[in-house]
Amino acid sequence: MINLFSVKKKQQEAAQNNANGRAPIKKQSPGELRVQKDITELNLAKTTSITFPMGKDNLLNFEITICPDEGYYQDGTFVFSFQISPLYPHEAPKVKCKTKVYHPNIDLEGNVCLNILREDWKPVLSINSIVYGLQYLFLDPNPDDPLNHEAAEVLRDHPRQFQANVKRSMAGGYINGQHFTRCI
Amino acid sequence: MEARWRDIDFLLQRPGKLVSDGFEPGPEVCSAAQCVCLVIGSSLSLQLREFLRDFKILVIGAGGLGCEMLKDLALSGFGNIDVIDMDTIDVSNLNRQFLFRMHDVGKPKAQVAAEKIMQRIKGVTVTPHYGRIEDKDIEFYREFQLIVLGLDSLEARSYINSIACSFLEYNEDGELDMSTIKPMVDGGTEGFKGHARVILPGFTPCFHCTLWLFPPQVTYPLCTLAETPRSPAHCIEYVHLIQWGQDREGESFNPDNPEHMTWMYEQALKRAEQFNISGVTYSLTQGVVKNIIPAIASTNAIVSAICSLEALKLATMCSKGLDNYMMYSGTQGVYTHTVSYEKDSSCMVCSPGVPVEVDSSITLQEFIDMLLLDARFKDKLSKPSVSFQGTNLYMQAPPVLEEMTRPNLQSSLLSLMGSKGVLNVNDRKLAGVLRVQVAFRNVPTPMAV
Repeated sequence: MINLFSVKKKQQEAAQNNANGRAPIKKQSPGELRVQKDITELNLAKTTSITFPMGKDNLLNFEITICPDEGYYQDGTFVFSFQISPLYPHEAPKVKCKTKVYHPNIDLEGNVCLNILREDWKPVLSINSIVYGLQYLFLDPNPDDPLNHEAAEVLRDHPRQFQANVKRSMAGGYINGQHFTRCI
Repeated sequence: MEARWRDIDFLLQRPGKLVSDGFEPGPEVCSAAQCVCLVIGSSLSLQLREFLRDFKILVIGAGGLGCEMLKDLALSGFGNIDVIDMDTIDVSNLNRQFLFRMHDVGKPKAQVAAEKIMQRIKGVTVTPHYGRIEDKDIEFYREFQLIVLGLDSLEARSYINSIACSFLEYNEDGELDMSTIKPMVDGGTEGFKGHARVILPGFTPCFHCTLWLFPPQVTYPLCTLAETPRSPAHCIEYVHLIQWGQDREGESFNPDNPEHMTWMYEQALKRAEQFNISGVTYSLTQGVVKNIIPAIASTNAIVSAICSLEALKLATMCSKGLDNYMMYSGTQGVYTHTVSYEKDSSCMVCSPGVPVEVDSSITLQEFIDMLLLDARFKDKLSKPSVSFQGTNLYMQAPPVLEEMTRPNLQSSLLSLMGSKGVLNVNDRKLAGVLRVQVAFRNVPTPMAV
């Protein structure tokens, strides 16, 4: 055990501390440092891109845009917002879809049902893993565990109708009274 | 000798094999005469008690642990205590936060706690701060000699830990300047379980070194919440995460607003009825949404006692300190276990940086090139990205960031940093972050006018 406080030293310390005028130190949380690492190691395909709406110094809030080049959602443009907590990677990033989309696993508020964002998140995963997961959602929508059950039913029972619905929503049309903004 | 200090003096007066090296009973105490020992001992304990009276200590949190710690520290002789808490008193606190009464509900915890302690215990000054720990300047924390934590979240602990570790200074040989250590005593409780630990940044593991101790939070798949809820918690989480955003668009949910919480409870109850699930209650709703576990007065009292005893030992060296993490479990009988965790030598919060000395005129580009040639980093660096205290100086990827930071490469490193300090270097080949302590030689002195 080390002696940090000596009755004799106390007066010396107090005098010293008053004499030093130190400049305030800005903080960078461990979460930011780890996300910095993830971002410099991002392996983005040509169908994905990243932007930093809050400038180059705020890596805790960024947006990833995915433009699938095959599957039901071919040629659409979908933007996802990422919010990283200071405790990252202990906590998963909060990801929401900013584009209104007709998809069995993405609801109309933008909540995304992806296992690694919730119960299967592990600190060894990274932003790359999440981007792969999101891309996979567009290439292979899953009707078995839906957030949007109407879309899931149509995909399961009438896949060609589903394809038509997706194309119509991406073009800015209406599905069951819901309006979708054009994103193609 | 005052009867009031009899128990504390017992700890402060005795020399012997149990005390730490550095305990200063003075050379006279080694003499044989018992009565001489007692006389010197009592004047020494007087000296130590005076030291404690002026010792600046900060208690963070005036809740379950905070109230107990204020009492324990004040009664142990600490005479100059500051307490900070951002909460106000709620009826549910009254079963264990004994400094508060029914008529105090709604008032700030820090202020009422400070008043009550000073009323009840003579000779102590408690200064309250009603606000968030993040709103205090770093200089506020520098004044204190010891910080005691009675917090309830990982984020708050991580924040204070970063602040305490940022005070650490290492010299050119990588040796720690001991006077910059800001010791912390951290306590935590959850139902029948608790822990107390001593953190000496640079020596014992800091909070970040042992972040892996904490299990991940319980989360449910969104699709289960939406389609196939099976438990009352599923119903509550559905309303919390999905239905709130749909029905009350634009409003941010405030768990301390009783109207918001009542709405959440009623909607969760309706949903539970839809799926034939029983068990949704108002208190379960609070528990799930705020992540709270019912608190017990005895656990708080036990953990606080350990913490304040450690604070006394750190301040006076009167006995061997806790090394360094003690857990307590009261679920079946009383069980405690103490572990000496080891510091993570590459911790990105408390480890010393690798020291590097450069000329004050070096540019960022030249600095990066120098790092790549440095033998110490052989095979560890390929395309390093560099940041300093929250500013990204140069990022090698992705292309949009590389473009934004490219102009910095031609600026002098000293102008980008302002003074010597620790740079954070990230690289594909590194497992974590590499901390580099940069010192400048030939710094031009400002011209006298």
